[in-house]
Amino acid sequence: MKRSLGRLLAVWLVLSAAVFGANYQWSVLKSPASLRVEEAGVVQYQCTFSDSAAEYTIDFKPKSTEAYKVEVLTQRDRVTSGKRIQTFDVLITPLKTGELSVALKALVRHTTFASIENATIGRDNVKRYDFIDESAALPIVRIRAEENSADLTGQITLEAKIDKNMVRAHEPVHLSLYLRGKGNLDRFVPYELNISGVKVFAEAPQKNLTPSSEGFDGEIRQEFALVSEKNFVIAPFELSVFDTASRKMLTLKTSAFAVEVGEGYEPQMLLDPPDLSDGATLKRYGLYAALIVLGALLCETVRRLWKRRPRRRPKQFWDGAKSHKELAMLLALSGDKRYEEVIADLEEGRAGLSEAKKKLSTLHTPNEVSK
Amino acid sequence: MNTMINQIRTEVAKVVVGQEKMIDGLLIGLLCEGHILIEGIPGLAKTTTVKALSQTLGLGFKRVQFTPDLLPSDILGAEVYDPQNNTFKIKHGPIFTNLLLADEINRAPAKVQSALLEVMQERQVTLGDESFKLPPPFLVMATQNPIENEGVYPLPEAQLDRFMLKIKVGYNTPEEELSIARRVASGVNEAIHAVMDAQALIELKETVKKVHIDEEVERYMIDLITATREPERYGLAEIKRYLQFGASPRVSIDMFKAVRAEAFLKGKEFVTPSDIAAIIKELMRHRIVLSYEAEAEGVTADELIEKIIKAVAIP
Repeated sequence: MKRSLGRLLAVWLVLSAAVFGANYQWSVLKSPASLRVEEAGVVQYQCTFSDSAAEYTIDFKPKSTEAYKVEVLTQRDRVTSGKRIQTFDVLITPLKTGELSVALKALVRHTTFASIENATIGRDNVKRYDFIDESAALPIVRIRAEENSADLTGQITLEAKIDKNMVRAHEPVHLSLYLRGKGNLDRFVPYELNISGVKVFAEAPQKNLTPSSEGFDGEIRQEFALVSEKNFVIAPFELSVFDTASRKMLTLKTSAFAVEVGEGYEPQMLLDPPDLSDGATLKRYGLYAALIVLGALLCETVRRLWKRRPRRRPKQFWDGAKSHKELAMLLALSGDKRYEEVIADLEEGRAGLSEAKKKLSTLHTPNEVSK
Repeated sequence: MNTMINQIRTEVAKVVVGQEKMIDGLLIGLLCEGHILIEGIPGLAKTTTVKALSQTLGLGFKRVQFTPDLLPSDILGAEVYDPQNNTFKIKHGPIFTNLLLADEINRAPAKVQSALLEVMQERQVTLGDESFKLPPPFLVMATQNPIENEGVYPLPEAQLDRFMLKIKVGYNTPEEELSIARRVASGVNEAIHAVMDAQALIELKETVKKVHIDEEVERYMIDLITATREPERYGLAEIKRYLQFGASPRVSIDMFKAVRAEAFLKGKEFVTPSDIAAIIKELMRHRIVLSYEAEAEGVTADELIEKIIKAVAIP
């Protein structure tokens, strides 16, 4: 009986080590007591294992609700004094006023060393790790969400610039609007600019943002091109912000810009009028004219010379004949009746080779190529 | 005598524009009693020329259109049973004429071609127990179309050898074409008059036989023939692979006759090498058998003949 009990105990120890593995515990290290609506705050969760827990994985994908938005900002993993500690910085952004009860869950996945070994070696019947999943409820965090009527929340600056404040009619003025800092910059609504008598060309905002403990950090730039025939004024841009540093509502405002619009360009204004009273200018223009005439003359000369160039006569089949006999044979072989007289001249000695060749060239038109 | 030849040319020219090479070839055939094979696409006045020539010479002319269902008896004639007299009568075919135009000869099967070519050689037809000599002069002018290959029976080399000349008929020059179009459009057809008869033709043939060939020229002709058989002897080793068989002795015989006629047509009393060059392609192009390599490389008989002419020393 004692032996059986001992065996049972041994089996239980092995199984508990293999199946249940290490213990773990979730805790909250840091959390804000209160936040404004749309103000992001960091809640720090920590999971502490009883040992190194190498066969554990935490799959933490918290879900947002109607009351708050939640995102994992950072995740750190370390082993201290033989214990594995995983820390998660979670960004909570309240969406409604009132008491928020943030109750998140994480999936704790436990595998075995045998499974790791099988999957690593790549045994035929093993495709991936085997896990035993367990849903862990994280400690509930309570945050008070206060009202916030500001357009944006965070530490934000607003700046507007124009490239010039004096233009000619139809010449564009470029207006650049910069929104910089940190906070919920992702909630920025692009400005719509309407100025009477001014054509406004607006570009989509260029966002250069990175996630941060305040929500987002970076810059948003919005560009406008303004075209008008008359003077106009660009009214100041306003933005209400809840400043998280001073915990106060602020109104950011840019300065107004008055743009003076002059007369438009006329075609003759685009070129400098030649100063004909200046001798150097006249000389320069004279040189230009001479160069044009000279170029035309040169082209005409080249054209005429090209026309008069010695044309290469098309190669004729009789060109290779080295004797009058050979020439007569080649001509007879061609079967062309036009050559009969030349053949007779050659055979009767009335014409030599060169004479006959000259005569033959007269029988063909310049463009005709003998067979 | 050349006045008569000029008259023939003038009469033929009333209906045929240009094509002097073909007309001269036909005249050579007439003067040498050699049969002529004319190759050319339709519409080049082959039939018109032969018909006009026969009218000019006052000779009998018949035309047979060769078709795949033609029988030897359709050309030669046959013994026909006469029920009234209870005997067999001989019915002569169109072959009994002076000038026979065998149109598209390669459309008839081999047995018809053989029957015709036998008559061409023997100039005699046997029907039943009787043999009939064909009235001299007897000349076959056969045509064939080079652009069609389907439904044709190409003439075997042995039969081609019986044609003295193979004349390739080409297109007219633009000026000639204009003249033809104007003449046909005007609708005016001049009548052709007979300028000679069979007796005059016989006399002409005798004159042609008297055209002198120098011994050197004779040897030159034999050299040209030999060069088709043994080209390497004349520094033409490169063309040997293109030649399966060279020209037969029948070519030598025909060449000796044809060059005389060629010189005669030019009004000469002796043969010069240029006369040989003028007629050698027509004499040889259908009689030298090209190898498979020549066909594969697109080498023609005319090209080989030109090479031979250029290689063999001119007397």
